[in-house]
Amino acid sequence: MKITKEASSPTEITLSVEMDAADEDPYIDRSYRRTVGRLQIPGFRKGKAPRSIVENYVGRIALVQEALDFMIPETLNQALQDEELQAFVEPRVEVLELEPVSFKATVPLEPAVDFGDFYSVRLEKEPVEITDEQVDQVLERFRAESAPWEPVSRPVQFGDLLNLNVQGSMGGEEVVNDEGVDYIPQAENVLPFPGFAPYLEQMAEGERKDFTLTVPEDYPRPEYAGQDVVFQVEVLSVKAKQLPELDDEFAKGVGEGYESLEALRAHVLERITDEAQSQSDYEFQERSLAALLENATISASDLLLEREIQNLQQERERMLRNQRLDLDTYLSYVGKTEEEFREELRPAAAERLNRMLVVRKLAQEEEIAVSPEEVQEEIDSMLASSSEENAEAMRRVFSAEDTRDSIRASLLNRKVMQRLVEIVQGLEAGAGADADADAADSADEETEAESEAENDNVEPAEDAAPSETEGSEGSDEGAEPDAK
Amino acid sequence: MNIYQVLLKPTITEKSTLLQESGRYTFQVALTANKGLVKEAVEKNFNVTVVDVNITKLHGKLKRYGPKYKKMPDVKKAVVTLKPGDRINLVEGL
Repeated sequence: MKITKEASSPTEITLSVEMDAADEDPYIDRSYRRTVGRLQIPGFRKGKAPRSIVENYVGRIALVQEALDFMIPETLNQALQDEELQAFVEPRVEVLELEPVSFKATVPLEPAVDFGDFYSVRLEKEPVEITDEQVDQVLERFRAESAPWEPVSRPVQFGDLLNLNVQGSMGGEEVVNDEGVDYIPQAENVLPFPGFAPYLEQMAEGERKDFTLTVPEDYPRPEYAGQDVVFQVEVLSVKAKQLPELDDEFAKGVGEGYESLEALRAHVLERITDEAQSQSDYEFQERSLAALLENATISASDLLLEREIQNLQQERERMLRNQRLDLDTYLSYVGKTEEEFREELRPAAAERLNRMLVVRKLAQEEEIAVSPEEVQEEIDSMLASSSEENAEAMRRVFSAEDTRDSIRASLLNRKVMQRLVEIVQGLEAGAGADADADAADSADEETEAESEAENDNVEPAEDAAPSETEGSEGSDEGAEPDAK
Repeated sequence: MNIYQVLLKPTITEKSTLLQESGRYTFQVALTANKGLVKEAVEKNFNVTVVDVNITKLHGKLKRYGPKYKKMPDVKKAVVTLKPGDRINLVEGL
């Protein structure tokens, strides 16, 4: 085996490996053993033909081809060990020749992440303030939701519930014909056509009205745009919402019931404060991360970005499959080629990759790690909150190694985020614990997809400058190096 | 009989490849061949020394095609034992 090492960039190394017959032999033997069971060679029972016969029957090259699948990864691992290299993710391999086997592997190294002046960055948490108006708004909504529709005898106003007979025709052709439909006229209601609702205003119960409506030119369906539609409308009934009085009586009917209006107000206040608090925590965390990204200089191999694009693409494909679409069909809908699609994913992928790298680096820098006990604790708390019959199934899920890995990853992420928030506030480690637990949770979902898509080879990119944009999604963990 | 018409083809089967390990090679030979001819032919063709020849005649089976019976051709098979250490590379003749 001959290995030539070449440093193509600070974050990448290209290994050229040439194998000789002696290196190949054990692998070819394995591929022979795999192949022989499938081959029906005259004169031999299945699986009984000796290697020399098989080699002649299918040809040596075919056996080598078959062997490549495991020959290259294993040889590469060996080569990496010999050269004492650590691959950050799976290297990209290019097979140059089969006889004898030689290949070229581009090995991405640990990216260099420099936090720059980040440790001197200080951010302020914005205090959360809830005004009485916000509480009132929520209460108003409760009122509107619980209000019953009561018949009224007055002309129609916006927001009333009408029962209508409607006939509409366009150039003699019927476009609408409904009897006894419920309709709520509202200024922004565009059904059946924009501008229909205002005609109903001021009509009385039992009244008929004929009018001609011109559909606006920008109506999305061209066969109707700019046409005149003649309507005949009869109002059968008019109902309006009877808003209940905002008093203790009302409070008792909301949700599980509250003692008094005061109790309800207190509860609502508490709830929206909580929401706003976790929202603001999350935003603060995002701002901290953005600050970290802004200060950090990341030089990573192009391969990492390509992998990330690949991961992202696979995620999108999964999402599409959930909607019963495959990628090709989707691409033909939006009229894009796969290339363009990938190009579009590039900024998002770069963003995610950078987040992943800085979080990883921060974890190293701050020596944050998750112990198996902590994982177990997390699992126990998840089990405790699930119901009896689920617990058994959950326990089975949690005993799987990769579930534990993904829990570990998300715990680590949470811890790193906590530390990050502490740093930007100039706090010592452990001071601001717990405050950010909720927000960190939402960032965990991407973890699984991360680790899954690690093993694929990707085409090289010409340009992959790390971009530093702010994003809304959480950062990822889980893309630990695969190579030993 | 021409010496080059004696050996028709090697018999390559599980059994024959097993035999090869002990230096015995199996051929399908002409029906008119005998042990002497086979020995001469193998020695000349493969440049080896033949120690022993065993010959067996396989009778062709009767096969029925509709109402008619047809006899499949007979085959003569020779198992040739070589001097220890001599080898023939049969696979090339496959």
